[in-house]
Amino acid sequence: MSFKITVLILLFLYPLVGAEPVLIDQIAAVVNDEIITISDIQKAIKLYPLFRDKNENEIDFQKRVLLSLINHKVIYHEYRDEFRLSEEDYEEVQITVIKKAGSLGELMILLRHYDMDWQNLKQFIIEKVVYEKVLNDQFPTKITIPYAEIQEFYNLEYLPVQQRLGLQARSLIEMTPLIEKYLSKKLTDTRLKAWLKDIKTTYRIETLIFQEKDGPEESR
Amino acid sequence: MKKDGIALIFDSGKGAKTLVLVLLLVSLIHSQPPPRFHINQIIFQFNNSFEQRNINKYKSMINIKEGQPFSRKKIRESLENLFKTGSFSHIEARTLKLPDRKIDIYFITRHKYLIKSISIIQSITQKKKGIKKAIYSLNENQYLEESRIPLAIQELKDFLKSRGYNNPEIQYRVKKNPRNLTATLKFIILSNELTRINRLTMTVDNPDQFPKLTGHFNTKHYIPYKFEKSLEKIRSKLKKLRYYFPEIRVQKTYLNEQNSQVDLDISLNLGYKYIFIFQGMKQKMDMISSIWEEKVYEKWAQNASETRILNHLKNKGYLGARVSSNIRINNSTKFITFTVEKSKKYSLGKIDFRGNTAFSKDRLKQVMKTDDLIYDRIFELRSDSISLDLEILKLLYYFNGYPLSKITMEPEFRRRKADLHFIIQEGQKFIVDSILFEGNQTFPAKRLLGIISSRENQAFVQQNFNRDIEKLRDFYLENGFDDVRIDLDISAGHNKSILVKINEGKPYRMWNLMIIGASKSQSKLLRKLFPMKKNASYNQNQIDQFRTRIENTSIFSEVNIIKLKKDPNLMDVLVMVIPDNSRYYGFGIGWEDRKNFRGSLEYQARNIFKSYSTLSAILQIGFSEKRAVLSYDTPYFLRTSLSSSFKIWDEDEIYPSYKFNRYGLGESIIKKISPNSFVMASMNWYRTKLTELLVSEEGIDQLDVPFDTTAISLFFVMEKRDDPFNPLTGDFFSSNLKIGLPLFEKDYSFFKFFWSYQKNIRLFKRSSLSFSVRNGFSAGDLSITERFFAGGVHSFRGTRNDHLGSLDPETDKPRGGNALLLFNLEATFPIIAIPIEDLYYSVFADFGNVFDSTRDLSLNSLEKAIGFGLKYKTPFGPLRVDLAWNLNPDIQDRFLVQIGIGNVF
Repeated sequence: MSFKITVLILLFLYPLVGAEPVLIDQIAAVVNDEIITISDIQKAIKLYPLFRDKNENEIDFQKRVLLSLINHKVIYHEYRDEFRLSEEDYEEVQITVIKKAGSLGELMILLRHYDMDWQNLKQFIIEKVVYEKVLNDQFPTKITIPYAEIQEFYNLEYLPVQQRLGLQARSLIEMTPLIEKYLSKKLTDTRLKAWLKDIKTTYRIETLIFQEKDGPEESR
Repeated sequence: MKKDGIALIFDSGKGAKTLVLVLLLVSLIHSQPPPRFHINQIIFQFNNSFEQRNINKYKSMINIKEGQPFSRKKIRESLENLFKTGSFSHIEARTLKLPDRKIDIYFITRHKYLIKSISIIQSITQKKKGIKKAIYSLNENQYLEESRIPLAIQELKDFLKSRGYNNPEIQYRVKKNPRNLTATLKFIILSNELTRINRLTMTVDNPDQFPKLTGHFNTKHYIPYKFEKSLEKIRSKLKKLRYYFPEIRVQKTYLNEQNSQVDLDISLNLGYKYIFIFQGMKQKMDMISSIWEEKVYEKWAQNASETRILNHLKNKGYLGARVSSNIRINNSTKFITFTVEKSKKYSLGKIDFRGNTAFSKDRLKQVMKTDDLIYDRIFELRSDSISLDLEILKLLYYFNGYPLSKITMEPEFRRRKADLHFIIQEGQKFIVDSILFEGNQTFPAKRLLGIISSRENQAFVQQNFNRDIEKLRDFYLENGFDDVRIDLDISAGHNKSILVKINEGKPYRMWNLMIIGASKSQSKLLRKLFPMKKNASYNQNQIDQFRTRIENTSIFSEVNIIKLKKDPNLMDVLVMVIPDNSRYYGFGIGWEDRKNFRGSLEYQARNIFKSYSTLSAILQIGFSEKRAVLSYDTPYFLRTSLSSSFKIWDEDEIYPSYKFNRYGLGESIIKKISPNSFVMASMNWYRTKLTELLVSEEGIDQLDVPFDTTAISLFFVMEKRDDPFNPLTGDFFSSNLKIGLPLFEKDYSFFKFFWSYQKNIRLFKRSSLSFSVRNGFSAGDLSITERFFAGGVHSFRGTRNDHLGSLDPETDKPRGGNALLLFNLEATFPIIAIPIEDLYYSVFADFGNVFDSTRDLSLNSLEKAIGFGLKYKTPFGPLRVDLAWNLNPDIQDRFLVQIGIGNVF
């Protein structure tokens, strides 16, 4: 066989030889006896109101999403027998899903991409629905912060910073709603992290991708 | 009803539904489905060739087939099914697009390895076994989860730190064998020095009281767990000396970065010494010391001590007793004085009830325990039984529809008697007004009502309804409804309306059975035992029973059964097992009546040659016997419900009239006929040599001349006693037919039949009457080793062991007989005057004899003995001392004391 013919055959075969199978799904994490796959992470990114932060790379973002899905699954298993979900419980999450997709039409295309129908969507979001319901129950959005704590924060944290920066400090009365909101959020986050950490200790959780030691922080 | 997209969105919410519907219609017009890929080929890639043989099993577990349209959802479901096998550490799916909208799908997996062994390599002085035990996260004979290796290393580090190695460095090596998918794991502990104690000081606030404390510590090395133990010893020593609340502080100062040297400064504050004074009763320190020795607050310990003393007195009949206490401090000593007013000691008087309308006085007394306690009536009323009765009465009311009943007891004292008045506030009775079912599409309410035990117009008992839910759930599971959910809605008020809400889910049919991990013969056995056929209704209860059954066989060390739901309504079952290939070594010491003490050594190898049979070797050496047995046991002989045991043995035994050596082999087949009965057929050949014969030689029985026996036997047992070791009620029957064949010994053949029957009848609550009959007869010239013997603690208590029947005129030793007839009658009662739960006395009468030939068997020739005994019931049967009186005036030793363990019959 001449050299030219060999080269031609190789060129002809190249696309076939070089074609590699493309990854479409993989087990990303295990929670007790259930799995979370890469396709679940992708679906969550497409369907839930999750967005990449400015300084966050793609891997860290996916890690954060995976952690949310793990949290959803753990809380779902912990609390699912305590109540029966009604259609109203689903409604809130369904509306955010439609909003994230852009329109119902877009959502239907997205679902078709994943071979899902509306029932499958409900099955997918059930863990989030339970998670949100439990969270609203456990951590009501309005936490009352004692006035003494607001005053202490104003005197020990706010005023010294303003003075150090040479800025005009606002009055305590002006700052009270802002400080209360800030402290309330901080307190909720702390309690949430501790609560999740406590519940998760009784579950066997194994992350099979993103193997670095430092995982993202707990997020809501 | 299966819901489509539009119907669902109508259901999905009130606020958004109009908008959703409009958007959906618009979207349906605009979105055309893209052309779909079709699956050309499904390819499995394993990390080893070992799993290739299981490829068909794995292929049947995935939800996609070649030629079908490509579906991401089904790929995910397939990953999930593969994950459920528990066999893979990594699973991914890949696609390769081909011309003509075709696609190849790759499932790429990495199989988990089974940990064959874990070993420790170390250069420190710790024992390897001890170090290995510190690893919890990984175990031999389990799958290797590599993510758990860091946990195991941490466990080792924690262990070594507790042993004084401050910076242990640990490396590990995993050696995988892809051919058989096993892994050996080595943890290498690199040398590390123990932390040296540079300085150890101890300061005690009261050195005169407790001077020699430093002797508790190893002053060379700091080994935390030993150090903690030493501190604990000091603490408990102080508590024994009644310094109950000492404070021990340890200041550790490491002297370098490697933490190889440490200064330890221990400061000890003894606290108060406690002296207890009991006024009005004897010193009872042992009763309260445990309270004070636990880590408690002083006030709590003081109150708990008062309560314990009071309970003690009330349990001794001092129902009106009072206890108070006070604390006095003198320098570093606290004096705690318990002042006790015992008042009178009472025994049980009358019992009556007030406020009971639902139950008569007799009915209430029937369930109570106190009313039956003769000891309490004569000697002292114990408050424990009253507390128990209060609980029993509350339960009686609860289970008859009175959940709000309140019952108290008020004693009334007259002279030395305490009359007990039980005051009952029954409350209103809760009645089941109606039972309705909702969501039962497959079964009518009438059918479901027949399953539950609760009925309309009967008492409402919440616990019964909880059981009813379980019954309904089982019923649905038996009919294939694996996703069934059942809840109850119970109305408020006394007349309860019960709504049973059923969410049936889909009914499943059994489809494929897949078995992983078992050998060929084990797989065949599992298939044979599996309770469901293809296409039958899937029954979870049967699966659970199947699991229990195979777990009980001990063939497998791990059994995992996974359900794989498939469309439409099909269920695959994956049985994953790890065969138990363990080898056991055992050593034991035992004692048996007649045979005295013996020691035993045992070796057992399970599932040998990849079968499901067990090979055992037992060596028993005792004062009157030696035995070596090699047996091969198969629980499911030829995969049937028969079990088989093949034995080869060699033994030496000693009896009052003879000693023998015997070796032989035999095969037994056992069939369980019902939960209470089994039959065993066996065939044995054995060669016997009498090594001592204290009766005259006759027939085949010649000293030191061996003879062969070939025998077939059929043994039947029916066990219907409530407890085989300490029966109160029930029957027991056994029979044994044995035929000696003239195969190797032409002139030696015999026929022998023995049966026994036992009946136990409960008398009152804890007493019983037992009757037994034992009868044996035979034909042929039996060797002395086959003849019937009786006499002694387990048969006829009027003679010594085996001495019933005729004796050799020269040696006075029993000759045994060709027939036997024995009757035993025994009544057993609790000793009510002594409050020991398991102590009983019995009166008995034994009748029986051993006859030279079956023709001599006669009721008129029975020996008779009567007597009484003491029994202490243990889990292995009663420990007995019987005093028997032989009614035959010609016998020399007419009174005999018989001691034994176990029942007479």
